[in-house]
Amino acid sequence: MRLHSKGPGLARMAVRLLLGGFVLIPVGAVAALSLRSPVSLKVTDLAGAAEQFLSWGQYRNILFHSPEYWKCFWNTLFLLVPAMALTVLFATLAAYGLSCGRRSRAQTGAVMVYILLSLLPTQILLVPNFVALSAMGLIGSRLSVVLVCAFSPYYVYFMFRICRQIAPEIYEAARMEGAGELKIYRSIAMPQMKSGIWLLVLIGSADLWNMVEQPLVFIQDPSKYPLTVYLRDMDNGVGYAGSIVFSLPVMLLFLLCGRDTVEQIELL
Amino acid sequence: MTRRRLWLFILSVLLLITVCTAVSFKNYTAGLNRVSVASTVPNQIRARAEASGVLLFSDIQKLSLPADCRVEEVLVSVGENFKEGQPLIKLNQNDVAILYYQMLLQQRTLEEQANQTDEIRREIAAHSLSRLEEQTAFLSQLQQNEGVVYAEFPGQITELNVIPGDITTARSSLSYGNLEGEGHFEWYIDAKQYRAFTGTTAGGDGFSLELKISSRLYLEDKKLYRYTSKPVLLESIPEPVHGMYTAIQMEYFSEDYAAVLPKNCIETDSDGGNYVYLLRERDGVLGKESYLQRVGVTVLETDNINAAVMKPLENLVVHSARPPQDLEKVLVIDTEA
Repeated sequence: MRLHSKGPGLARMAVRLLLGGFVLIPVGAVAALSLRSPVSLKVTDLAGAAEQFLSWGQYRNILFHSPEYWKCFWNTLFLLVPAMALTVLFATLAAYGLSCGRRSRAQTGAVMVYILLSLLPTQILLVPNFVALSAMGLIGSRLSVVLVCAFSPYYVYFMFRICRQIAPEIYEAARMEGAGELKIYRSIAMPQMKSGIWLLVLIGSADLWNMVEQPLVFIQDPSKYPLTVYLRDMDNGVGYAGSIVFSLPVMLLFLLCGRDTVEQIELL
Repeated sequence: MTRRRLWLFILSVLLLITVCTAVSFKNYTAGLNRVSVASTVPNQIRARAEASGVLLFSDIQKLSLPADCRVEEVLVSVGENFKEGQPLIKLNQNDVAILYYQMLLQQRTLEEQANQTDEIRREIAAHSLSRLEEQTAFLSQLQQNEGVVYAEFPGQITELNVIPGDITTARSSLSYGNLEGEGHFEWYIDAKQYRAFTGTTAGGDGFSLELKISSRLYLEDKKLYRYTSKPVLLESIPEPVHGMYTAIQMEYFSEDYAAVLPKNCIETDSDGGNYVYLLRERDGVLGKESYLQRVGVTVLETDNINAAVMKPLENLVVHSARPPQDLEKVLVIDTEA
């Protein structure tokens, strides 16, 4: 507080810019490298330097000459859309179940279990998940990744936090009116959670968009790999542009949903 | 954010991805190298060397004409066959007579010297006299024939360096091959074409011969092999001419090899190693992908078209639209037998 009141404004601004800039260095580096020519040119003059370091060649190659890239792009979507749909369904159902009744020890214990499970790193669950999916004969299919991602304890807890903001009296009133649990879930809880669901879709999409370990371990078929896995094997001549193009949809989605997202996060 | 904007955004992204995917696949297919593949087959290596052989008579005679005689008529030409007793050249009769009498005088002088007591002079005179007697006998015969030179046996003119009107010199002569003798072929081939040839034939207008090689000599300075055939019966050639050029074909058949492939499939790297490209398949992002793999081969023997290699190979790239590269993805357009 003392620093805040006494420190000069310019110095604070400089420190913030420095820290912000430091965080943005990797992104800036990738963006700059994506503008390099995909082929090494002999730089002899300014025009040659411009051609070498300010070229759309990588983007041209990625956009119009990389069917593998786009195949993997579609693979990412084929994993993301069903996984996200199932995540929303299961997370909202579980969250409603945990928050709709009167608070009890069992309910608190269940929430604690979800919290503990969500704290476990993904890598620790890979082996048990693999064993389970292998027993189900799902290794090698996209469904394996979809199922693993759909049952995420973190998103249940996330939706629980949102669902808990709905007044219990509303549920009580609905029950007294004779509404069943499914009706209450669909007609009362879901509309109340709507903005939270959008936030879940946003955060969950970003998470699933960037997943690497699960597809690599569970799918084991290059033709079904998402783009995150393929980026690893991409030629550096176009890999930087590939990374930028890959991150654009999520970035644009966040920019479009920016205000709503911030408001929702503040409510949590 | 309104729901409409969100859906608009999602639809725009999907449309963009669809367009990029379609264009990329179109460009990808168009940009693939197109190859034809085949397998090696058991076969022989056959080599053929072609050369230009020359026919040479084994028995060449040279008839020196007497000097200082006018040539009145040349009755034969180079390459012409003549029979025994056929007139060849007619010299001026007076010139022959003058030369004859000059020789006789010279002969008498030498005979006088041969009777002298000086031993050395006597020896020299005796040697010169014997040579002179031969010439005198020839001139005597020529004078009796009225200056006409007749053939002593059938033959063929191989060289003639006088024409009508010439005055003969000490170098004026007539060379001819003996048609009753034998001839042989002589030819050269480049060292690079050398093989252990098993069959050799000569051919020309109206004749064809199987030749047996009698000698082979490597001329290191010229990097050539010189071959000669065993004597050939000249009767097998309708009109044998000394120095006649004819086509020589030498053939070579190797042992049976288990793997023979077209020679143009084989490439050589900077270290001199030979390699070929084989078509392989792998699981790729786009499903089953065909790609090329560079594989070293041991070339046992080659000819102009084929090459024998150590091991049989399958899915060998025998033709490609552009020079193939290692691990390059390709499109197979043809599988040859």
